Amino acid sequence: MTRGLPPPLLAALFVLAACAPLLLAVASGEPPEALQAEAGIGLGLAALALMLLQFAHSGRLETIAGRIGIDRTMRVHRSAGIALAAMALLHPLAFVAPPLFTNPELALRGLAGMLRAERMQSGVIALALLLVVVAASLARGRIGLAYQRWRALHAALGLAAAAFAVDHALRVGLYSGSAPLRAFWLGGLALAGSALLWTWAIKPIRDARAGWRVASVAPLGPDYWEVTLHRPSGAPLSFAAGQFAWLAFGRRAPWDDNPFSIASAPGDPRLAFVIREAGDLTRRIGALPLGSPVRVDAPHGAFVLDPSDRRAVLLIAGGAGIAPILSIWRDLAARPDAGAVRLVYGAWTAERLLYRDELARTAAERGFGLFLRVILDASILREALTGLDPNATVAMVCGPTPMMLAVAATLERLGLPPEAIRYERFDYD
Amino acid sequence: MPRVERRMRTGVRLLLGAVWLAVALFALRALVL
Repeated sequence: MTRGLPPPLLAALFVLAACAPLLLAVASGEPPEALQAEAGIGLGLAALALMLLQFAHSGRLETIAGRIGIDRTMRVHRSAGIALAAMALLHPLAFVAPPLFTNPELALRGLAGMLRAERMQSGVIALALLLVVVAASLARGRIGLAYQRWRALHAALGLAAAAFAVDHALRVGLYSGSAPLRAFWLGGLALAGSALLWTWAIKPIRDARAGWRVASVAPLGPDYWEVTLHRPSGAPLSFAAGQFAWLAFGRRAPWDDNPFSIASAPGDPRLAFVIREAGDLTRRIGALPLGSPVRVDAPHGAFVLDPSDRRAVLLIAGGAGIAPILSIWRDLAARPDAGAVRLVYGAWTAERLLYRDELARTAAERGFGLFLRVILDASILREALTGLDPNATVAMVCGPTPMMLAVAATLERLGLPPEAIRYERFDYD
Repeated sequence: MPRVERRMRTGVRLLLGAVWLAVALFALRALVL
């Protein structure tokens, strides 16, 4: 199990890698061109560096996402994508900038002439592909593009855009002709391709060979199923309570998998998942044949408690968000040294409050606090915190995003420091 | 919006802001050198 690099190191590496081509350009010793040309070059160099970096923080590499979580990783990926598209768009405009304001017609003619030149072709293709990738990502929901299809398209077009952009830099770049910058671009492209190859080819084959199979499928309540997996060797998966797995039921394309939080405790030879009937895949869950193969890419996510943390633990779950919370609850219940643990759990209806018997039993046996409610509100959170020092409590929140944000805001009002409130979002808008 | 969420957004903005700043400094070399 990898835990990933610490956030300050990742941030420093990100800025250093994104600015490395600018530094290499300065170090090349070439005298700078006019201001607008240097601005254009700088935008191009940074845009391409950010584009290559996108392949490192695609969310599947635990060295990157292991500590900061998929939440922060994908947020950087999304914002960097928009920023690099803006830089790439401004890149050609900067070269014609001065007449753009005094004589726009002349500037646009100059721009058109520049873009039509044969040696600029790969740059124009790269920019067009990049804009398609970013636009499709921002409008995916609105244009009804299925998540799995979009993901495959996103990776393929993204790599093609990066390859054309590197070709463009090597063909026409003023500074990119220098050996160090040339090596940086080619090395970066090779790493980007390797990251995709690892994620979409090597890793899926290894994950499929792990031999996980469906062990049971049982209804838990209206719209909810519990699916457990096992493997013939009986070896448990090494993970921390609160993490999630990418699952592909049956034989599916490498990009055709979905994230599900693990509900079982670490050490359990069976992996349990709580699956709500919602999308195309999850509507067929009840009909999953026992023994059918499942590709498991796990563990992922940083929604975990630090084992050395001695603070009281407040768990808050909404709906299907009970899955990782249940894993943490079960893990804490198995630890003789667990301190104060309280669980606040809400669902739309009482029948959708899952695992009630088990939760009540553990609460009685271990003296854990249990607060079950149909609707969560500030009063129940206040009640659950009664007798606990907000400065010595860590809250783990999982549920629909609006619920998690509302709960986090309420907990802050109740005195919990922001760094003591943990949640992991799976939407990044 | 909770502070924890605002902090995360600020962190991302700072990261990308640093890159934009580096581009601006790179371009301004033309005026100095």
